[in-house]
Amino acid sequence: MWLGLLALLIGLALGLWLPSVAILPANMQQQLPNYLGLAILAAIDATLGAWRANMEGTYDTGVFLSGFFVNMVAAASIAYIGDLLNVNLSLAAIVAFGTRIFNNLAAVRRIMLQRWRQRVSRVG
Amino acid sequence: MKQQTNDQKLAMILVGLTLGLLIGLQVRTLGFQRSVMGTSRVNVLIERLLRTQDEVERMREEVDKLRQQISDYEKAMAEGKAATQRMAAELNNLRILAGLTKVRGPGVIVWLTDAPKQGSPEDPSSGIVHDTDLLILVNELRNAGAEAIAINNQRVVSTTAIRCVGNLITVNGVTISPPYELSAIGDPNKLKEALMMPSGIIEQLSALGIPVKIYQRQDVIVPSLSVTPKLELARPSEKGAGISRIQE
Repeated sequence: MWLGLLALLIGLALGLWLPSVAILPANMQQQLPNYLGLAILAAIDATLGAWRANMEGTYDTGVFLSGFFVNMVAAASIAYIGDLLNVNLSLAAIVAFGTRIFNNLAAVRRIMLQRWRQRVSRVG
Repeated sequence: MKQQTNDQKLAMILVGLTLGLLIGLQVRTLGFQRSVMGTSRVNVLIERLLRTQDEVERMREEVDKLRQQISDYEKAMAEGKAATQRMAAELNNLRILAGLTKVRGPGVIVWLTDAPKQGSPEDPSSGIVHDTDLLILVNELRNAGAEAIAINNQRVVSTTAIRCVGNLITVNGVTISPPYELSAIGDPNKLKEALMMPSGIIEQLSALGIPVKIYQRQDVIVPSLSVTPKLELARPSEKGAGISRIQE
């Protein structure tokens, strides 16, 4: 858990420090955030999904890692294809991942609440 | 907390690094855009900037060109004042030569008319002033340096024809009748001497009984051409070298 948080902080620092953005051509600088945002959304969804799976005892590292990276690339790709077709497909990704993030959060919350109540009742 | 396997630790590190990197990049990119461009319509702004720079460059060139023109004009003005005056003077001279202006100056007036009594019985027309007489008079006056000539107020210019139509004389297509009065501007003495030459035109006319009088005047007025002849065919020749001549 702490290892993950530490890695997250290191990654953040790297991302903020790297001078890569200014090097990119102007039109790429403009387009990059559209896809990067969706990739981040997909990554957060995968992470929350892993947390939930962990809580429910169905966690699988292979599933988590493959889901994490494939969803990230897929979300960005869908948005890109949508831009090529002039259809706002990124909306579909946003809605799907957003819904799943809330579902996962809700599941995690319920499980945590249940456990907390169990602990309280046991102690009490 | 459950015991974590090495796989799980690796996954966590990998996922954490990736997610952090992405979020960091995203924040940085957006921040960079906001700080530099303000809006997301970067392409439009860049294009507009380039176009404006081009325009500025073009306008600078135009300013240079116009400045050059101004200095050229100023130089031309300094030189041109004298040129304009010279041109105006030349134009005036040419207008006088072309008979486009009424002119006055010292000269002579030649008065002549048909003989009062008929000439010799062999040639009844000998006492009459002919077109050729007038032509010879004009020719003599010109040869003596007359600058402007008129016959009965008809200005004689380069296109003027003096000829006989029936028993009348036309000058510039206008019929004139005796007495004839030739006004000529030029040196009065020279003109008179030329006409009074021994066996000259006056002597010949007098011999035929035609009355001729010559008046020297300090102020002779010669009218302008009544009708300006049309120029339809003659054009200035660009190349001065070619001279048409019939080869035989």
